[in-house]
Amino acid sequence: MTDTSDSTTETNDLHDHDPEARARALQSLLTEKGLLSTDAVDDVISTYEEAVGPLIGAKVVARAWTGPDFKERLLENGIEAVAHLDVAVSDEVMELRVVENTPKTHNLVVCTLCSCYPWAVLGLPPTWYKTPAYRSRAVDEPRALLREEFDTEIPGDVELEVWDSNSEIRYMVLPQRPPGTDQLSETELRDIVTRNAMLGVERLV
Amino acid sequence: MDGIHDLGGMDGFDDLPPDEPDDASPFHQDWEGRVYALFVTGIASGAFNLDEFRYTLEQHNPEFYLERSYYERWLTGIESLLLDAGVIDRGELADRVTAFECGEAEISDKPGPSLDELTEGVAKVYQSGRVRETPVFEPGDEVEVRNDHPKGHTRCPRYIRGIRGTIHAHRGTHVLPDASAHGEDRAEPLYNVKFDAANVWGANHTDADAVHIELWESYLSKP
Repeated sequence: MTDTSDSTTETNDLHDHDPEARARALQSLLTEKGLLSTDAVDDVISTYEEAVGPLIGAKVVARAWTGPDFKERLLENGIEAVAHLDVAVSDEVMELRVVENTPKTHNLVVCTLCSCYPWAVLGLPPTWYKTPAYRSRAVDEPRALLREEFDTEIPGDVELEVWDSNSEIRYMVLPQRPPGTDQLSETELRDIVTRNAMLGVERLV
Repeated sequence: MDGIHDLGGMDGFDDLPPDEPDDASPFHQDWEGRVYALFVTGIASGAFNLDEFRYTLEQHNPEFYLERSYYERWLTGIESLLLDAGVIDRGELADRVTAFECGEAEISDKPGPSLDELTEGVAKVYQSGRVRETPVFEPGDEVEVRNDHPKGHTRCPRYIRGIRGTIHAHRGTHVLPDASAHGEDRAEPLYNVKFDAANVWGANHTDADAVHIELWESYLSKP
């Protein structure tokens, strides 16, 4: 068994240093060793600032609301369906499962052990998703959590199912299409899909 | 291990912080993006895998885990793993950190792998090319989660151990994190198991109806 606890303790001497200096120091060493380039670092940052974010998820949801065939494929194999849309997504490094909200069932996504998140469709997780407060409470009292923290009331006659995504399989919620949106185009529908609705902490109806 | 990371069902934490980062800025500070790039580099270069990374974060002491920011925990884990793998030297890193703090160092412009090349490296690590193992359980089967508290890495959270649930779906054959985090290459059938929330928490102590979670075959037994 590999035990890394010794080295974890030894690196404690770095804990008191500024994390920015530590990150730059590590970057400079890896660059000198030919394992990393400044361009790659800039590209990672711009990818998450510009290319990958909740807009991809909104596009997926709007397409599922307007195209029954796409919706069927999406629920069957999430990442494969998403990869067919014209979006930047690496379908090789992640499995995506999309769970559909219905009049009878509401779904909520959490990762109690760390912060697994469907980053290929929603970008990087918000701060609250990674906190002990969210991770601890979402599995045992989700209705109270949603009411108190997100002002979201899940009606008593709607079943609440929680998806604790503890492995490489990531979850995204397909929210219900709000009533009165029949006239909206697919592009217009994208604007009403929120990141929080795709995690299940918000309802669009 | 039953560490501070295993948070499901724990009581007493504060309210949630403000909703950030938002769509416009996924990182709070510039250095967090660097940490993400360092993580990708570590995986792509083969210095560590995702399970080793997770296990390292789980070994942070509870005070450090709860008090420091998410990306600082990541950075600390990446430092440990790169030191363990011998990619960098402890003295060299400490000196360099001090140099950056004093403004006496710069990151060189030396060419290196592009993001595409790094991403390819990451994909190779993830593509297991596993032979599909025949699953023991089928959807609809009742199962009981083994009451096991391993000292090493596991992706079986405490709150469902010893609890009965139903196989919701078979997810294929996946690398077993409990082995992979300790350098052993093993894979097993993975299932999504559905638990009645009242079974997990007691009917009077939950307001959920069901909890779904992916569990590897060796976590489960026939009741």
